[in-house]
Amino acid sequence: MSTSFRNLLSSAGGRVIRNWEVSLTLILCFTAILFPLITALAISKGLRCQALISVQSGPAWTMVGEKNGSSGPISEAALKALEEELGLSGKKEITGRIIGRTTFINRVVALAGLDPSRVAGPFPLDQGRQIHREKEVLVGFSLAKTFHLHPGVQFSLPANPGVIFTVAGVLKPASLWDSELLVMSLSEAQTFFRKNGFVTEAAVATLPLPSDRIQGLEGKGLIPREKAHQWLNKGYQATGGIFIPFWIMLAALTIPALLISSGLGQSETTREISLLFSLGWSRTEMMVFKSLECGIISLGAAALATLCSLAWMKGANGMLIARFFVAEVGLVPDFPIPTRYLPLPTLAGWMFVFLITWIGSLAAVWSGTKKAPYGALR
Amino acid sequence: MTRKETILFLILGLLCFSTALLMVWDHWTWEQGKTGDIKAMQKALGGLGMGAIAGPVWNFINYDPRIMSYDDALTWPIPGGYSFGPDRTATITYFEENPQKGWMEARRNQ
Repeated sequence: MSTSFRNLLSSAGGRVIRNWEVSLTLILCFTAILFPLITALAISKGLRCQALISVQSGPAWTMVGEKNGSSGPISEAALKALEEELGLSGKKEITGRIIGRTTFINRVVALAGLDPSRVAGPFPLDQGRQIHREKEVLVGFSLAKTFHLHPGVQFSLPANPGVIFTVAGVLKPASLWDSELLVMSLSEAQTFFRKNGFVTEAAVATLPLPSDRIQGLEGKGLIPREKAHQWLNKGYQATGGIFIPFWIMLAALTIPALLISSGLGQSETTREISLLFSLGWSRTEMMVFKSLECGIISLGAAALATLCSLAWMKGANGMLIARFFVAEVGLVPDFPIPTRYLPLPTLAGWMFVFLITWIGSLAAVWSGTKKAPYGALR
Repeated sequence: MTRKETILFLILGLLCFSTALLMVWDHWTWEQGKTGDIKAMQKALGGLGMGAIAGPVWNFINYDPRIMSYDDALTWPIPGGYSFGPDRTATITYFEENPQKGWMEARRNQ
């Protein structure tokens, strides 16, 4: 580091300390602006990571039926015919499952009916054991917590009160998928929904077919894992819908911040620059000096915003904030909100604050170098 | 550099260092431990298509007027979100729920 740069850095630091009220106001204002943005990006990244895990853990192919131009149930007979056609009979390469929903007292819950080869798990459990017997279910931890369900408790559901289920275990709070979920065997889900012989999806582990034949099947509801992966990424990247209001809010809050940075202490800054100019400082030196000052403020704001976000999300599990990003989680989420902090949002935040403050200080430098020293002192 | 300036740069350095350190810790927990249970759960469920079911009341592809009076998938929280993700509760397919007894009559009476 050259001596002149070190001196400029020291002067910039000195100025931040001298005008500590303005500097602190700026840092706090920008921290408040960056906090929701960094939090939103961290939650988005966390959600995407969990979704990608879901896709990667899934089968190579997923098959759905067709109903009224949309996806619909698929019959087990059709799956059997496909198995025979592909020469996969008895190899368990194609397994059906049901993902449906139903009401549990006053809550709408997801219901997963799984093939016997899958229903035994192992599922990560918080209490109880895996499903061993008929009419046994695993329940999500939010459900268990709200309705005091524990292993051995029996219940029925309004959609089919004739079926009595017994809680075998409570799922571990690992991700948001497990929150309000009922896991049972495929046949019980079929009985419950009164849809014997039908599944919502089929998982296809392998497809020993030439690619042109596979392409033909894709039009008939066969979704390759790569395509789901692609959709997922595209969805998160392209729409980014959830962040639009944050950017709008960011821009709206920037205006007062800009006013603060360019307005508060403007006359003092102009006078200081004018004096420095008369003492022999060049315009370039003054620009570097102001840039370093902006750099200190923006670095402080970006780091503080990230730290606050990290503390709130990891310490308080996104209390009060998470509900704006993840649907139906309530003010105090009862499952771990996925967040992933990467350097890019913090760096982008730093760049943003730096640009705003730097643009604000440009005017001060310009008018300060134009002013005569005696005018500045008056 | 004066004492006050040194303290300022020390505080700034500490802020940046602790932020970087916490980010590395976050990355490490994702890589090492946090995903284990999620992977186990997803493998058992068959992964793909589970959608977000933290609150399945929201955004099923075929919305149900018994549950919501309007399709809020289009309006909440922000329009334009993508349905094939865990922050949306849509599943990739739809399995019709049997209407409860007396539902049609109740609808007609409304």
